[in-house]
Amino acid sequence: MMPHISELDLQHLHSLLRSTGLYLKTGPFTYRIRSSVPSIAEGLHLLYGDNPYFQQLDFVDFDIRLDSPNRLRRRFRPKLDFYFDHQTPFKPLPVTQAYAFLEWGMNWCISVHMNQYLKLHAAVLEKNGKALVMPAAPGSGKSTLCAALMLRGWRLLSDEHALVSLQDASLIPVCRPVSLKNQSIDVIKNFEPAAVFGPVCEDTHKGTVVHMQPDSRSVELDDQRVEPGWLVFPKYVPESETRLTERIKETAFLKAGDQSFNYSLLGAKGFEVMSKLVGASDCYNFSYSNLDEAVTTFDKLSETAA
Amino acid sequence: MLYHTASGDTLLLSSTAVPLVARLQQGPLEKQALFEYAAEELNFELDESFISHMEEVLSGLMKRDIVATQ
Repeated sequence: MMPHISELDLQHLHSLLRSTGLYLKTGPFTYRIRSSVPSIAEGLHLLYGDNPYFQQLDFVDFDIRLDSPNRLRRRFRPKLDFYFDHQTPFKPLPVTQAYAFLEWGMNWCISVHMNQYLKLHAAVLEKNGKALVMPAAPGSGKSTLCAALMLRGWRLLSDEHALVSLQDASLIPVCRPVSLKNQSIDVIKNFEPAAVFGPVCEDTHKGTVVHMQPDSRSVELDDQRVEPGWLVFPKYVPESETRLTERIKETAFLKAGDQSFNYSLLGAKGFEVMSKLVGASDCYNFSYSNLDEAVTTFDKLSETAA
Repeated sequence: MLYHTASGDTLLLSSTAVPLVARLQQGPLEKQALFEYAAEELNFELDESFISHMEEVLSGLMKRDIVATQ
């Protein structure tokens, strides 16, 4: 049985990150993470405590490092580079945004690589053995809704990536912290005061960003695939009524395709897998402003899985 | 829905184009026989107005390189 990150004390974790690196497993992927930045260690310790780690691996999917490019940058307006296989795909960011930079970089690794799956920009949760896939553009309230559902007992597969198997269109979990920004942070803090949050990163290009810890059960089940059940396009509309309306599968297909990272790249295979995903899912549009009502609506929907 | 192999585009076909494409995927067919098949599938009379509409549909499919004549 692999040890979990929570078994490391913070000092030991920081020391690992500064030296050989932390070999973190999340879903089907392993990351080697290195950084001397304290907030990275603190965030990983807090948010990935239930994830297994390895002492050493001969192969990792992603080798990443976040550090200042030189000593001057460590002291004067400190900034960080994100290194991926010794390349720097992004412009440096202030050290105050370190933890968000790590999570964004980890997302980027999956979004740009890993074309052995059909990938959608979507939150994925599970209840009663079926997956709820919610593709959405940024700002649609996807992550807030995803966080609320997880906090009310839905299993989290991902807040960011729907990884669809090219073989059978099942959903592959990659359970990581949920990214919340700006007003959503207080909304979720009020919704569930016991929710655990990582380092607060202010003044990012997305505003204030914070990541929320996934629940232990979701992380524990991080290697168990789920059959598709519902394909829902969520939209937060201020002061709106909660409304779940059926959507025809053809337009659901096209909209899901718009939210895919690699649908076109996969060509005919992408079409085949998307057809299986949409064919096996009931498709809906969903608009909401009240999280409690939203959760009740999805709980009722989950009963149709039986 | 149709995946167009030549362009890599995903196309949303009209309901009247669906039986034409589905039938032609099985093999080539004379136009008259194709329209008879579509009329039966769509539960329409094979009258002048139906044929005229299907001519338009077929022409549209040919313009998009989905259907070719031999």
